[in-house]
Amino acid sequence: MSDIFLSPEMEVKPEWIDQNGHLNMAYYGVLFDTGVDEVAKTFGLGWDYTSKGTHTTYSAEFRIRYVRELHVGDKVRASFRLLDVGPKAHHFCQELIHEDGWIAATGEGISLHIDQSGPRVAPYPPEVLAKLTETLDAHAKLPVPDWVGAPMAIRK
Amino acid sequence: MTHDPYARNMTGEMIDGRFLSEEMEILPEWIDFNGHLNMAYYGVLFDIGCNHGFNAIGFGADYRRDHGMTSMTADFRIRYLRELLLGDRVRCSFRIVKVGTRAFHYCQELIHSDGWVAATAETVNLHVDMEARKVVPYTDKLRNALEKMAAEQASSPVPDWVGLPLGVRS
Repeated sequence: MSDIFLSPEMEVKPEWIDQNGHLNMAYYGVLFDTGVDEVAKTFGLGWDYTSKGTHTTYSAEFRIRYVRELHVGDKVRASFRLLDVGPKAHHFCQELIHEDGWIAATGEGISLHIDQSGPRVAPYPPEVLAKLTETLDAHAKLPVPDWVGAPMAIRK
Repeated sequence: MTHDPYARNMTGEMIDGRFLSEEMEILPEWIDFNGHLNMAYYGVLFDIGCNHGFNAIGFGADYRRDHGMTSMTADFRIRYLRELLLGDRVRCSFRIVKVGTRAFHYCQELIHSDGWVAATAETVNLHVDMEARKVVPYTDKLRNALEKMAAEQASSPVPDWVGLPLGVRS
């Protein structure tokens, strides 16, 4: 997988709209989270894996930068690019892309591999680590977005 | 149910030096296949759990109605520390980090009823003209209220997790 992954299309639901008449900030998070479901399967970390009940993934950190408003009925896809892979965790970034081509938000996350008997953070199985590393190598040819790792601050 | 954190006229109280929201409970529809609060719904709790802070500043529904200005989030980051389960009850703290002319930076902790911290968040919030959909300077009254709360909270340290980059351990 040498290209950035794109999720299936997702639609903004009426119950996610707030008093500003737009997608509430918290529900961008739902779209980013739903948007990793398909790519997780390609790493062997999808429902087939987690539903066995021994291992799963948890989120350690997640950051959203809000770029444009979304409204009810808008359709978006989430991209997925690996940034780094450790023995027990991976670092990734995403963009929420409107069907008209513009970026509505960016996401940056850390995903942990979890042994559910703890639950505790645990090493990836070799085949999952191999797949993550292979994808990381492919994605390394692509530029890292300039917003990755930027500290949060306000303009004066 | 329309998502409407402003419908809840959340008030806050000072407890152990922290400005805390009312208690919020983890709802069944927020639980995921891991049997715990889904990552995205921590965001819902942080969003609802900032309303006592915004209301105390005077940046709530009344301000939006009277001035045609609203608040929008520019940047939001969560650090997940502990799982939350169905029926758990949490309060949310609210502390201003920095105030600018048209935006402010604040941080929050989601605190379980047993006292431990389940997650932290930091946010940049913008002052927006609702009609023009443009970021605009605060009114003097609002700027003064933000500065006043920031000054009151300055005696407690800014948490060491504010402003950290994301990364994995090797």
